[in-house]
Amino acid sequence: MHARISLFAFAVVLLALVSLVPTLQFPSSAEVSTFIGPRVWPLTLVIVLFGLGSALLLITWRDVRRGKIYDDEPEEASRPQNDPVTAQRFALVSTRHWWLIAATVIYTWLISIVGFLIASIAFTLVGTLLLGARSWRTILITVVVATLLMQGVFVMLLGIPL
Amino acid sequence: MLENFLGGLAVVMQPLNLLLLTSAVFIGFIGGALPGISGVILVVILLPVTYGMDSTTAFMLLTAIYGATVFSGLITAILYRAPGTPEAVMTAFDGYPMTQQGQAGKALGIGVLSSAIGGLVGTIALIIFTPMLATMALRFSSPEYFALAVLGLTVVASLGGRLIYGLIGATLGLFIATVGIDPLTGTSRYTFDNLNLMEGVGLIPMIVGLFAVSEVMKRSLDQDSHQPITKVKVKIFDLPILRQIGTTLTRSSIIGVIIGILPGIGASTAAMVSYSETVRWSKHPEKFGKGAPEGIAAPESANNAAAMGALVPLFALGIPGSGTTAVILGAFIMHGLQPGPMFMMTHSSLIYAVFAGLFIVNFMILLFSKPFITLFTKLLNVPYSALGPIILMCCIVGTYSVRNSMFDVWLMLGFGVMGYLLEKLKFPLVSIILGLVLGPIAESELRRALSMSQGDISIFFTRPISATLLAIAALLLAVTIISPLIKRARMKAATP
Repeated sequence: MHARISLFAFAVVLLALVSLVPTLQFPSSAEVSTFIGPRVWPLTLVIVLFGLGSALLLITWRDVRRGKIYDDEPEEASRPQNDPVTAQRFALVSTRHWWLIAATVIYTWLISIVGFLIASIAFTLVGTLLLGARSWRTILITVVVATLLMQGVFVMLLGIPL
Repeated sequence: MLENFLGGLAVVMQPLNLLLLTSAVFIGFIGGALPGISGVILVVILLPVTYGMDSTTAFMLLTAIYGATVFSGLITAILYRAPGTPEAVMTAFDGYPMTQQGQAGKALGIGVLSSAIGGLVGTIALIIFTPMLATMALRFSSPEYFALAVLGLTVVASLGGRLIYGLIGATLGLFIATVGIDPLTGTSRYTFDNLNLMEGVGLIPMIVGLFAVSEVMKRSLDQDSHQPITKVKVKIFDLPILRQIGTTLTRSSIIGVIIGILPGIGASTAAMVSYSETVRWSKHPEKFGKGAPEGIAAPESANNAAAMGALVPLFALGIPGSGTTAVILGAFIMHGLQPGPMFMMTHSSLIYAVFAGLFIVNFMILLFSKPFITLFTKLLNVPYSALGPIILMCCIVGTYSVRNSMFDVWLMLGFGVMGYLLEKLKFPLVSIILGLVLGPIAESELRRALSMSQGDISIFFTRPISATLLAIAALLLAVTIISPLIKRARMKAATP
């Protein structure tokens, strides 16, 4: 958990530092007609983000040194390394959510190539299989419902141009 | 006034108008329940349809859809943690945990009742106080709007969990809100010459991504551990619950009306501010975020009250109170009408018909929500292997439909992954939303206020309303931070 928090804090600090570059390129108050220029507010936020990220990093490192465990630490942190669950970390069941996101990314990309309807049918088919459906009846019903939803509700009823 | 209202009621009760009103409510239910399809989109889509209608009927239809969508956003917020509308994002915070505890019916019942009561209070306020409230709204200037935004942002201290996470989340949200064209100078900020970013980061992609997509990712991992819910009994009128949430409903409805009538603030902000205040006033703030009934009652009553309140400046001043009312203003212009101070006198029959229609809509919510929700809750028994892909598909289509932008869909997916990873740290995602919603108001009003005072920050403390709001914000923030420290010190002193 400490590693995750440190990584997050580091990401916040990095975001602040990276954002500083374009922020300093915005016109200052003296360069625009308004009293406060477009740079002031985002610059303030970048500085605050840097400060908060650094503070979180320091707090986390202090807690590591003190051996502090957070009350809300998830279970896997206390699980022993030779636990069978830990060993299955890279199995499909444990990475299913990433495969689902990958399928969603491909679906989104496919939309611009084959259109919403065909892409949605393909995605629904793959998505139900990825999430563990094995009954072809369930899969077929899901695909039909997705099609009806797409055409019936979104296109015909709500008139969304897809 | 009563005479005019009864006249409006007579117009609404004509069979054709009543049928159209009922259809509008159902359309609003469907649209509001689907993530990404908000009141704005529905009103925009149906605007051309109303062109050929009689003005009174057209505006009854549009305002009824508006009222119904604000309500129905809670359905998917509670059942799937996928708020159907931005106004329902706070409802998911306590509503979804109740579903996880097998209390989906109870959560939905609280939501329905709170929405109806908030909507009724807002409608009554709309009818009675339109002239008076419009005058009060005129006294709000930039310092007051900034102070209100600050008050809304202090909710991060009450969200529970680690304060530093809330502060980082709010700052991140405020920072993301700066992406796009600066409204005061026209400067492009963080757009990197990308046309899609010129309009800024949309609220819908962020909300749908952070909440709905991340939840689908989480559920896809542990779907096998979820027991199918065999029966969801929606109980709307539950006396013990009503007694428990009564004070919250009253306070939140009033907050909603006040915030609703302030132009440009919106029902989402009303929901957040009222949730924040409810947490602060609660004797058990630690229960919020884990399925507290007040956590549903507060945002739902506030957002419906605010939605009605947002019509006040529209009718009284011709200034829209929210995004959807801005579209409704466009509808008025399309019909050759100009809302404003004279409008109440020249078109009182139209206005009171709209008021009466909205009054009836709130009762229709009570009447029709149960069968509608029963249909939706049957979906809870559908295996998640079927439901998950459909939810994702709806999220993508819904997000795309806001601006016809695939870029928004990619943003949504990015926020979805970010939301999933942040939740592993028990990070309060709602703090980011808070920053994004209040950021534009906070920045633009701060800059305008300082322009007014030529850089003198005492303007915030010398104007009574602004000073009062900032003092309340400071006091409440201090109490939220100091109370746990005092409690801890007392416990340490008490242990031998």
